[in-house]
Amino acid sequence: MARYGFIAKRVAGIVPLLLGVIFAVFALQHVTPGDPARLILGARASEEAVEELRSELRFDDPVVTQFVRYAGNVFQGDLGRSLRASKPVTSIIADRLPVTLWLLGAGVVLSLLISIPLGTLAAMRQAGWADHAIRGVSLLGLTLPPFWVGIMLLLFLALPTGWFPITGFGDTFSEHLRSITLPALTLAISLAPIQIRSLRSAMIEVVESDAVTTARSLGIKGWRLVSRHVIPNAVLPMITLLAVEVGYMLFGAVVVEATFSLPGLGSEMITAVAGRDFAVVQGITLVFAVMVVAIHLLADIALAFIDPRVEMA
Amino acid sequence: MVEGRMSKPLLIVEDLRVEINRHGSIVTPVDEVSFELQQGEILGLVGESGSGKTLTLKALMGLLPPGVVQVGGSISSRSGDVLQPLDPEKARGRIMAMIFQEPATALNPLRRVRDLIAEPFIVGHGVARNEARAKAVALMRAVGIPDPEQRSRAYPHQLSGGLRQRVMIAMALATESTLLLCDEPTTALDVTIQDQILGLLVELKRERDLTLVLVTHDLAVVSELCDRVAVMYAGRIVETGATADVFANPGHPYTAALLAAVPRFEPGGGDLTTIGGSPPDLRNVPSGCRFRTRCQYAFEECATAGHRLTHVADERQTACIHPAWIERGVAI
Amino acid sequence: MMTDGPSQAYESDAVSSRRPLPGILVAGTVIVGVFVLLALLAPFIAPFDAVEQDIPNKLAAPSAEHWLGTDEVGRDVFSRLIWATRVDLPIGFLAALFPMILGTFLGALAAYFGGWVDFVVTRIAEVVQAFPIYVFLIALIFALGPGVKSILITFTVVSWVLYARLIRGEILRIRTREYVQAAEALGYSHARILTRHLLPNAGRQTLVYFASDIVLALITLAALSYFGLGVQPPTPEWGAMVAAGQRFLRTQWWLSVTPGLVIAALGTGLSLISDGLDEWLKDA
Ligand SMILES: Nc1ncnc2c1ncn2[C@@H]1O[C@H](COP(=O)(O)OP(=O)(O)O)[C@@H](O)[C@H]1O
Ligand SMILES: [Mg+2]
Repeated sequence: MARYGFIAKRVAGIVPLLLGVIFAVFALQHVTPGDPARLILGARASEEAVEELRSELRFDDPVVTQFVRYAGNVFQGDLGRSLRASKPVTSIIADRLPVTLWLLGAGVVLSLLISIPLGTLAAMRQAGWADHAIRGVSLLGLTLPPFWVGIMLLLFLALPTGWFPITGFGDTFSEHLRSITLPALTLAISLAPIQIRSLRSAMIEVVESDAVTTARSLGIKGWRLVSRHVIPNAVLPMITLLAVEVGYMLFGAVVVEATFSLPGLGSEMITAVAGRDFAVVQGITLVFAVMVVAIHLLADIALAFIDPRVEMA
Repeated sequence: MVEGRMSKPLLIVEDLRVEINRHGSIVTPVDEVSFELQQGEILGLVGESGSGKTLTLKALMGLLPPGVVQVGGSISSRSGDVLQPLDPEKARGRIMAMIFQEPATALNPLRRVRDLIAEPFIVGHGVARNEARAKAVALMRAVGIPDPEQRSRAYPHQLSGGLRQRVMIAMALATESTLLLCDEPTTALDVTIQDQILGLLVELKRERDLTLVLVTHDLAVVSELCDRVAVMYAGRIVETGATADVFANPGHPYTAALLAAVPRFEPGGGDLTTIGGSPPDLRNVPSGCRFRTRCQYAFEECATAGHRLTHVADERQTACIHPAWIERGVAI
Repeated sequence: MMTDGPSQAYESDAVSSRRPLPGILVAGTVIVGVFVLLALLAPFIAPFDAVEQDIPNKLAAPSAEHWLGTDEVGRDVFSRLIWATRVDLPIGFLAALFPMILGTFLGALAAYFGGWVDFVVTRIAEVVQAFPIYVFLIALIFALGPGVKSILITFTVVSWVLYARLIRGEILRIRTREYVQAAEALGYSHARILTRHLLPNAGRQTLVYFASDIVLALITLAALSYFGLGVQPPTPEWGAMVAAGQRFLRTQWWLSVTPGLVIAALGTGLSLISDGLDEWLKDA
């Protein structure tokens, strides 16, 4: 099948990119001013301890050797050990990843539930009051810092009603759901404005396109026109946008997790940064980077399946 | 070809006026356009690029692009024996359909050909989906698409320009409209394909008793296929009449110039833009007759001339006020 | 046959009469102007010092003396909001300005000289773009150490790419136009053509993007400070103020609410400028 060949090709295409990502993450410890071992152990550590760590982590080897070793370890699933938790980084990531995935999944779904109706409405009522209102709100939404939005939700929803836990993730499925609601809403509010704006302009472009004019000339109108001719063509740029947005989305997830003290990768990363836990910061950065690369890949593949014009050769 | 002359207007357009407002300055790309369309005829609409042909058709369809508005005029259509105002929203896909110039962009790229053609059956006539698809394949055969079963599963981008235009025609036919507005249906196609598509339109017109408006650049096509012709210049119709009469004895200097620019009707031979000068900038049109700045016969009165079409003979109208040209128009 | 050339009426390059400034551009400029004034005149406007503590008077409710109350060490919140304008506004501005300068320079270089210069710049841009920029932001700041200098370096390293792509694309598009070719034919120097003809045109979009990029930089700066990775205490900074107030959300909610509103107000002003510029300069 052309499709499987296409996917295989695309997957193979990202290998150099992944190597680049690993290199960038590896390079982090080399852009650090000063002695990385000293940095890891902090100013109060003794000279012997620093020396010991240097030789243990083999910081004195040539950079190329170090990189080859690092990349080799990464490919074998070894991301090093957390010095503070004295656990393998992979086990920390395995603990924290599900929370982040929950947050991202729920956040994206919620943001689409907000942006698709509003973006569509704004485009359909172009220059009407609904359009102006929606554009105004999304312009404002772009300027709200996500951590502050989260705090507002805590202040105005969680505290007065008591329905939502203020921190943490709970233990059962329904607790997860309740814990994730406000963080996901916060993430959605930070993602939706860009989506609304680009969906609106994509829709307007599609509405004015020749293909839609043709459909209208045949007497096709109303919901059928929107659902069969406008939305499918406007969704294509949306997929691309979601993929492009993903980097910002992950940053949003870090912010939101910190705001709500959700035990996900983002809050762990912040803790690790504060505690100068080098291996953890590197490991989480790597996971995030791989997620971005994977989402771009998925978007490409999705586009190829939805849009018959994409050459699958 | 006089078979259409039964004086039974199917559509009457009066004083159609379309405006575009760009940054506060208003231009009028279609200005007091009036014409009648007889049941069963082919009306040719000719004129240089930018003269307002497409916008005229789109106004009839109620499909003017955003920012372009119809500000005046009336369109009435005949149903049975009564003339009534035409509501384009209701008429689209029921009594009239349009065929566009660019088959490459006119078709929704995400849907299969059979679904595109089946849709008017489903929407306009309540046909069930499977039956509509079967009808779509039958129509594909009727418009001369080889291998219709297999091609019905193709997407538009997989077809050649000529086949896409045939699909477009099939979609228009699927509405079971009897009035087809064809906007340069062959301009975007290879020369060899152009004749086939035009032939198909004429054949379908005969078989299905259609009425056609055919916008074209090609005067040879007009003389061969159209019963009557309307000549447009800078947003106005300057002359109408039976094709043979108009071509034999143009009643407007612009028509004469158009004809003179074409070496006697060889298809594809000659370029209308070889008339001296170029069409006026719509933001800055001459007063009176808009053609007067390019017209070698212009005299003082042209600057104040109205642009009403005047009957110079039966079914023969010109906007020119120069006595010599009125004479020529009458001299048939 | 006639050929259907581009229609004259709406492809004209003729300079139309001066267009009025869009209302939103004026509104945005006024808002941002107020913030600039606040930053410049902070010593005269702010009733209290930004860092001087008054522990006995901590967490006071809003009053005639302290319009927005005091924070956990007794500093006047209203004054700190004003003083913080001197921190957030210039850093946000510079964090967008540096990448713009770098990106514009590299993009223009790549487009104008083509060849290997273009190849190298384009490849680097591709690699940087493929990376999850904002996550690297945190990691880079970690590596370089918290603080304003790290933030500015990091922003410059990660967000020049869009400017470079923008300017490069625009130049490649514009340089095929006749007037540039005419200028080249008249023997004008590269530099002169670049500054006289290309940049003013390509600059429009860049300006629009720059205005909205400041918003992004502001929010990111606030977020980093909220984490404790950005501006360090006791310097007043809006994001850090939100974080400090979060502990007292149940009792002194205004501590966290007001800095966010201030960020949103400045952000709205900048976004209005961006949208307004877009509208104003579009096919002018
Ligand atoms: N969507 C539009 N917006 C602005 N001006 C338009 C638009 N469509 C057409 N025009 C202008 O209206 C005039 C008539 O155009 P059109 O009807 O397409 O001419 P024709 O089909 O005879 O070539 C032209 O000057 C064209 O520039
Ligand atoms: Mg046209």
